[in-house]
Amino acid sequence: MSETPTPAVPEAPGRPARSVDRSKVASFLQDNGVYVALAVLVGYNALFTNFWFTASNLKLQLVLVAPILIVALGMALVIGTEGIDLSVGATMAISASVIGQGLDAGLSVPVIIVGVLLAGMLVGAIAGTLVAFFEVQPIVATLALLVAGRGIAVLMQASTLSVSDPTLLKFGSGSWLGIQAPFWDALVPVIIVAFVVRRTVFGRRIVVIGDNVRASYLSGIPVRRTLLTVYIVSGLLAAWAGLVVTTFTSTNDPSTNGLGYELFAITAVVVGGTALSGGRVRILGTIAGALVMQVLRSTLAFHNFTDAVTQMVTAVIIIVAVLVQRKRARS
Amino acid sequence: MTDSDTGKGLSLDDARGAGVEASLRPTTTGARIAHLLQRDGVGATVVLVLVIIFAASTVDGFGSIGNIRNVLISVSFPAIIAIGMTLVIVTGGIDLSLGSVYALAAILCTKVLDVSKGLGGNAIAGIALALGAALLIGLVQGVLIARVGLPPFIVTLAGLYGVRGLVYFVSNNGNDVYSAPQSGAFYRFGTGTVFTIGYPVVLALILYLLFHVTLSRTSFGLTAYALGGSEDASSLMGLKVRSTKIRLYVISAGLAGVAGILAAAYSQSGTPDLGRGFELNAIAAVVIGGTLLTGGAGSLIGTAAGVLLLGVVSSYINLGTDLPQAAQAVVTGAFVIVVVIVQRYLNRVQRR
Repeated sequence: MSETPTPAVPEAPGRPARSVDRSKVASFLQDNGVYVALAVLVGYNALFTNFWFTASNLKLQLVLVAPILIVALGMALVIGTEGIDLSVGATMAISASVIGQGLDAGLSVPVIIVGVLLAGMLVGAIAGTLVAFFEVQPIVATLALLVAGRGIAVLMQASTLSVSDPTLLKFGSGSWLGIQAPFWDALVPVIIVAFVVRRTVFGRRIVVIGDNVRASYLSGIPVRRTLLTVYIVSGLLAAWAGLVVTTFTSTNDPSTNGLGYELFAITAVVVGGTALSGGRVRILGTIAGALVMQVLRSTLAFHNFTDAVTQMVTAVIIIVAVLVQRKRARS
Repeated sequence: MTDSDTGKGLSLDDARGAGVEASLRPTTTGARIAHLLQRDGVGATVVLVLVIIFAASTVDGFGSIGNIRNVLISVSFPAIIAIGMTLVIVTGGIDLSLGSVYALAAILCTKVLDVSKGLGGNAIAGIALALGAALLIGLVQGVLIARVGLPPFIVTLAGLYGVRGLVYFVSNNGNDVYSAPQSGAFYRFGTGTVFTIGYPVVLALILYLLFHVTLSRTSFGLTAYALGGSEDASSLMGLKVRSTKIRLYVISAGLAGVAGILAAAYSQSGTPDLGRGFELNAIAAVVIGGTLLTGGAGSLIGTAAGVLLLGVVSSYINLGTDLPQAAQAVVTGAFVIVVVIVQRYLNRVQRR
């Protein structure tokens, strides 16, 4: 959907045919491995898992994947610039706290939503400023925000509130065309981000910066501004995901909302075939990566495996995903 | 320290500062001060001393022997984890799996003791199993990073998930909490004292000394610095890049294992949620201690100061303010941000 054109690997002359084939297989797997994995998982479930391949369950999968997908979109952009954003989970928690505080203060729903989004953009702006203007390594800057952000969220609101405002709940618990709201909440940013990455100058800049920062500076690309914007977008999307989770579960718990989401999102992006070394943003791959993780979790749950097993399998999948990518880099 | 006392070719400071402009000889007074502040955690130590003076003079009971003992004990477990994190970060790597490995060691240890209670509780078997598992995890990660060439961030991220999964798997999905007997060798190992100082603190101190000497005075340590400076150059110089890296990941996982065993012995229990986020706090302590995440520079003295600083701040928030413990996270994050900004400023001053 939004892959950047990678230069074709020139085949060495006189190479034996077999190794060419092998490199072709490796390159196919690197580009499409995540789709193959998704197809295999869905196919397996359709054949062997009772009650899995039903319309209601498939819809549920699309709903459950939404928060991770929303966060992963921002993460894909950040990783495209050769950065990383560990602060997204904490931003989701802040989002939950802002909702709680807003409801407590009796603010109207539009005001609360604007507040949530602004809070997310603020966290992103801090990360972006540190990365772009103070040249702090992204992992350090966003790690500090991960630790501090969760603390701020809990300081803002120590206890769990149940959200009962009917208008606000529509964002997570309403439904349209038979599919619950989180799916639509994710679909809108997916379309916007995909368009931005594929069709806009800003999208090209992200990829170019991730490819070579020095060259980007030298060729007059507004590197700092672009980086700042990317982190703000990531914060915005994380705050949106926080809102979706809070209204879907109709409870806001700043101490657990979004916990570990930074790692889920990174996993979705990496499994989706985007290398952490930047220079590439694969939106469709990221969607498939998030779906693979969701379907995997559901498959294991349907077969009565515990969460412990899911975590171990996730670990193996991450390693396999980077192994496949590495083969491509070599060929 | 600038005029290193090793007469042979590669001086310690040259190796330590490889690839870092901060190691250039300072020329102006400002640059000299900046240079000094970045050396071996001097900056973090200065801040630590200031915070201690401030806290001791404003909060009743902060400077009491009892509180000092508490701070030291609570800091000793993350401190041991931070040793391994420093070693790995010096080479330009990172180890996100340490919190999970810590929990696994604690769980395995206490489970063996709990299950074998009727048989008298075999502490040696528990410790051996826990340490063995930790070392094995380190070896697998080290091989994937050094031999196969996968990025440390990803490999240890998988480790973070996978090992935590293993912890839950071992502990019946986290439903079981194991407890070790309140007597015997294992109990004394965790709760014994030397001159009223707890064993965990003593062990942490010994490990810091040991690894400080290893990092700054042995060829293994210097190879680690060289690796962090430039892996290609190190490899061209004939340094054992791969085996050094593998050993470092084994050591860091092993140290997390030791910390987990120690924590289990101290608290006599193992819970599956133990050590969540420890890897992040360890990274924060390392960064506060002045070690660069880009590798090639840093010291364990800085890390020790960083860990102590976080412990002291936590104690101050507990005793001296009405703030909930969440405030500690905010302070930790703020410290990290301030430190990296100050470091950048200091680097600039020196460059002039």
